Amino acid sequence: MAETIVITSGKGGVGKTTSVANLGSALAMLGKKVAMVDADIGLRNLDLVMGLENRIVYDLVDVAEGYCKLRQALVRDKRVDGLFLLPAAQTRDKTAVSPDQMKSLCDELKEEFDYVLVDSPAGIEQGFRNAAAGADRAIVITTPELSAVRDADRVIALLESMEIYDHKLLINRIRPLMVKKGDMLDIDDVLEQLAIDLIGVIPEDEMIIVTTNRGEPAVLNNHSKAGQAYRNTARRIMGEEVPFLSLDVPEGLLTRLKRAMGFK
Amino acid sequence: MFHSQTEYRRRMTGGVGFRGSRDGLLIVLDDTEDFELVLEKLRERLNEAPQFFYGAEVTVDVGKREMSREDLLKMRMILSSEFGLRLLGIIDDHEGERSGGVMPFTGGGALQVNGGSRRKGRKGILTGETPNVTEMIGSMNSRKDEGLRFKGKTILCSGTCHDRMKTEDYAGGTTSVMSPATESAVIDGEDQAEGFGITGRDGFACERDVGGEASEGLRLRKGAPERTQRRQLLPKVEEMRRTLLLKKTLRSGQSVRYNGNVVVFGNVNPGAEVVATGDIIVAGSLKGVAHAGACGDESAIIAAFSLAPTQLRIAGFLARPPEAEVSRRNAAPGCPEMAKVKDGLIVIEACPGSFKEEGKSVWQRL
Ligand SMILES: Nc1ncnc2c1ncn2[C@@H]1O[C@H](COP(=O)(O)OP(=O)(O)O)[C@@H](O)[C@H]1O
Ligand SMILES: [Mg+2]
Repeated sequence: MAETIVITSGKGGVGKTTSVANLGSALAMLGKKVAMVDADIGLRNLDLVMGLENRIVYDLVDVAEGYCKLRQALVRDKRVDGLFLLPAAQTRDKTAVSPDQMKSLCDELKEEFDYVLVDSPAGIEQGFRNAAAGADRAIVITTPELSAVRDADRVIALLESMEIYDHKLLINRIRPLMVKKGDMLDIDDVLEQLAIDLIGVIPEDEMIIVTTNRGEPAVLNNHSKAGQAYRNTARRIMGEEVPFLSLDVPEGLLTRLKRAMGFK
Repeated sequence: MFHSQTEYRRRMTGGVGFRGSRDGLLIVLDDTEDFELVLEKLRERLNEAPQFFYGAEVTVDVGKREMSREDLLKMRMILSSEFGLRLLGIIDDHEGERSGGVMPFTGGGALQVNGGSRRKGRKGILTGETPNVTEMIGSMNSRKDEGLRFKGKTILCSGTCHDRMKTEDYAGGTTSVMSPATESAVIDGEDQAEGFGITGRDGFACERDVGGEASEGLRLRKGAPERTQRRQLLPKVEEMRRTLLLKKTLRSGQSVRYNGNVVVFGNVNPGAEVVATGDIIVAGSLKGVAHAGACGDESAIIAAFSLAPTQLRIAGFLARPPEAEVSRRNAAPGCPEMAKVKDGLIVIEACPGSFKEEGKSVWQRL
């Protein structure tokens, strides 16, 4: 019962790559076999975030072109068992793979892995379509900003046009204090606009930046709030019901959140 | 010998045939099919063992085909610029006035295909007196003349890189001049907009495909025993290699592939790659990926003023710096170092003539 999940957004820089790295690691730590596919061809950086850059020999385009076997291109994670990375090509561009190739690649991976997480490029162009081509589900990422939410809305429509109806929202970089002061969109505002199920809320966390620069995902760090939120999100991906973290925000939000999620 | 030329040509695999002879290699091209296709096949065949062909002297038999100036240019570009072959002459098989001609190709040295006697089946073999053709080729040789420029076939880039460079990085540049195969090509930043004449991997089929290549080379060698003999008189392949001097910094996403040595006068940033069949020298810091001896030459070296690559590859050996060294190397410029293969491992040592006396380090195999 393997699944391919594409992690996407409309806007760039909202945390797709960070989320793939963390969710991938978290799922693997929960005992799943996970392949992370970097479909951001030409601007790869999932390998950097995972600290695996210097182990890459072949990449996704090499596999798509039949230049090497899928197995040869998979880079084993150096920390977490059962976690693998299929890196993007750095010296090629998005047109180097076709949606069909992506689809058969994801299907091949599904034979061996429980989860295939696909990191996608920003935007709604061909690169996005390629990344989503093999997906069974999607996680749409947004930050609590109007522009990001608007772009997420656009992406949801595109996913539906590609017949991916199983899509959930991950809100990243929430800053509880700002929300409290009313300076930031809160979760309700976002959910109201997008009318889509929530799968996770990740707080803004300096640890993300620190760990990213070290090439290790935040979920490996027990002191990271974002890491904790990613671990919870991973369990929700697996179908567990996990209450949302209290983000030190007024009572009201949590209850409203639960209502939005259908928990009473 | 060739009473039925057409039949003979058709019999040849894919329209391109190789024959060894005392004058070097004879390449026989199909004369019925579309010339573009024939050239594509020629490129494919040469790509099977670019290292073997590099520096070889060839004569091309074009049969009954009427070669236009354009055709000649294209063919020559593939032979000399892409694969470093020395084109001694062209043999054609035309009836009448210019029947059976051998055209001199190399600038000064008029062709000495005293093959008249050997290629008996041919009518009226000439040694380069065909005026029209000679004139034509003459003008091809003088590169000053009417701005005849060869697009720099020296940098072989993967297709999309080519596109990227064209649209984003080098928009508005000019065509680069291709030097004859025996000289070094110099290409600097502004001079290469159209320098990436070859798209796709086909320009460099041996890339990373190490090991398999050597046997390909052997197979071809067997087919041309005379050739091997002759080769001993020629300088060793390493000594004949062309060198590409690149005066620019290679940035993330850029890739240079070259059949020969590469010298980068600038940095090779993380995310950039240099692939060469010969040595790679970076007069700057090497932080990206370098692959020397890409066609299997294990004696190739990689040297840099500051050697802090993401990964090194020499022939079929791959290595990355030990985790502990990564940050140190990235931080300190260090002294010039070189990497080479020793006993099946990539080792790093100080460059000859450098002051560094420290011991060698062996890098982690991938
Ligand atoms: N929850 C977070 N807290 C703090 N910084 C974050 C968080 N999520 C992402 N970032 C930072 O935002 C930047 C963009 O993230 P990235 O995952 O590369 O986005 P994308 O892949 O969508 O372009 C990175 O510098 C990352 O460290
Ligand atoms: Mg990204």
